[in-house]
Amino acid sequence: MYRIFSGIFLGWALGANDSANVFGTAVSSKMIKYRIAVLLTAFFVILGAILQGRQGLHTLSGLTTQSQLTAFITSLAAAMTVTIMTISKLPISTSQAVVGAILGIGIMTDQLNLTGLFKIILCWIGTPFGGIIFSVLFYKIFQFVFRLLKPTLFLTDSILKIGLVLAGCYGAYALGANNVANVTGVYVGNLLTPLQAVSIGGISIALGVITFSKNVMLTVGKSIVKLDAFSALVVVLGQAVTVHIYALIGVPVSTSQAVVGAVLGIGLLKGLHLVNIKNALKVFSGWGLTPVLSAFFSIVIYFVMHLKYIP
Amino acid sequence: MFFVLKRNKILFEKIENYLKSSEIVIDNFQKSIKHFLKNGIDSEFEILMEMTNSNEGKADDLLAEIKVSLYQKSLLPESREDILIILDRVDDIVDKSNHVLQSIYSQNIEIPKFIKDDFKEIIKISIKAFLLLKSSVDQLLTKKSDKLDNSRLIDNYESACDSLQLKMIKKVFDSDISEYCKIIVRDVIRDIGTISDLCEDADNIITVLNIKRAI
Repeated sequence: MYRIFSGIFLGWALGANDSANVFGTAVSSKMIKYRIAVLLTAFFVILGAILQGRQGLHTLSGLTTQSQLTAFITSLAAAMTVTIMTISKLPISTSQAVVGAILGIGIMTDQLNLTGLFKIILCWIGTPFGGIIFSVLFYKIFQFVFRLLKPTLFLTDSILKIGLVLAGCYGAYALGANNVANVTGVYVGNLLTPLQAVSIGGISIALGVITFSKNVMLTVGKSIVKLDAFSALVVVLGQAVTVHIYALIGVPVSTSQAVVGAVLGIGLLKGLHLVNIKNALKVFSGWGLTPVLSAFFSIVIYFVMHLKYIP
Repeated sequence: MFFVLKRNKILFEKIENYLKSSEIVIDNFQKSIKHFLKNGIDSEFEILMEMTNSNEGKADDLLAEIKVSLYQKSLLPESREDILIILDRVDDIVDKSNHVLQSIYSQNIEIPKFIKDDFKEIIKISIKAFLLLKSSVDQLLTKKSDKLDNSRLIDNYESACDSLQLKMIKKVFDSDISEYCKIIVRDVIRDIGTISDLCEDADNIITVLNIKRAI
């Protein structure tokens, strides 16, 4: 049973890193208190994981055959990668970390479902584009509505504040629904039932949100594009819808990729001179590094754990 | 206002009350100056001056309450800062009006007859500029304003005040009143001229805020 702890560690790391994608823009702009944001995120993550998290479990568990030991190694390697990137204050893709770790295991055991991997990679590529498309769409729709209604300053303020909270809650729900598979998907079939997997996964993500998410929250949104409240709302909603769609499809994707795509969508509408290219490139390079680093860790840990002492 | 958060509703009411208080101060200021130009510094002027000062104090208290609300994170950060700047400008105008009365009283200033009509005119225009500014602030908070008309008028009033200010100061220094009197009268004229400058300043900020708010 101790082997589940690497999954819990991964869930914690995921919560610490990815929660910034739902409330990061609002918290870093001081629209919502950090404390309220983390409590709401934790609650809705658990809800999303339990209600709609099972689809992704099948996808990940089908990439390679997992034993309890390899499931432990996968989660540990992914969690180490996510933690290192979190401490470096980079939003990263936990999905890429998990898949990278699974790849490493697949290489060592010579068992890898390439078709399944290809499907996942296609969805990864589609994620930032989904973020761009939905953010542009929502921006245009909301812009039309606001111009029609012409709300007063106080009404606009209230609408945006309430909207940010609701969008954040939806984003947290989508995060739980989509990413719980990353946390405990590898244990399904060898250690946990699907219900146990989504419950434990959801709670571990929530713990990460509550205890260690502040670092990354201030990076997302603030350092890539200067966002006003309206744009922040559109970004969170665009990201949430993208991630939720992939949750329904059953492919765990990166909320970070979705939010950066959404932020870039706003940048495209407002002019790319607003986009901090240097920071955007820094974030994208993190994504390239993540699966490689994670695969490396899983290979090393697998190798070490299979060393035998011969007197 | 049915969908406005409770905190924002309370803030809105406080700002409304503050603007009304500011208008009372300016109204008191106008009455004081009218009385002063007709009767000089007497007990009645002193009473009017004290009333202006007292109302200015009440307005300051209201502004302090508003600032506490804003610092407690009413409104989004971008709107919060802009509202604070605008209200600070209104406060500057109110303070300046009170300062003019106190300067007149404490320094026993006498406005020379040859600039009395100009003096009345500059006061009248300055108050019109303030009332337009107040209207702009009201419209900013309650609906989309017909901003440009107010801006143009405030700008015109400010220019008119500048011209009158220059004309009066020239007349004062061309006259044969004492050098000391020239300087203190000049200072009072400049202080009054500042009122319309502050109105234009605040109006420019409102213009920028309206542009920023546009989605």
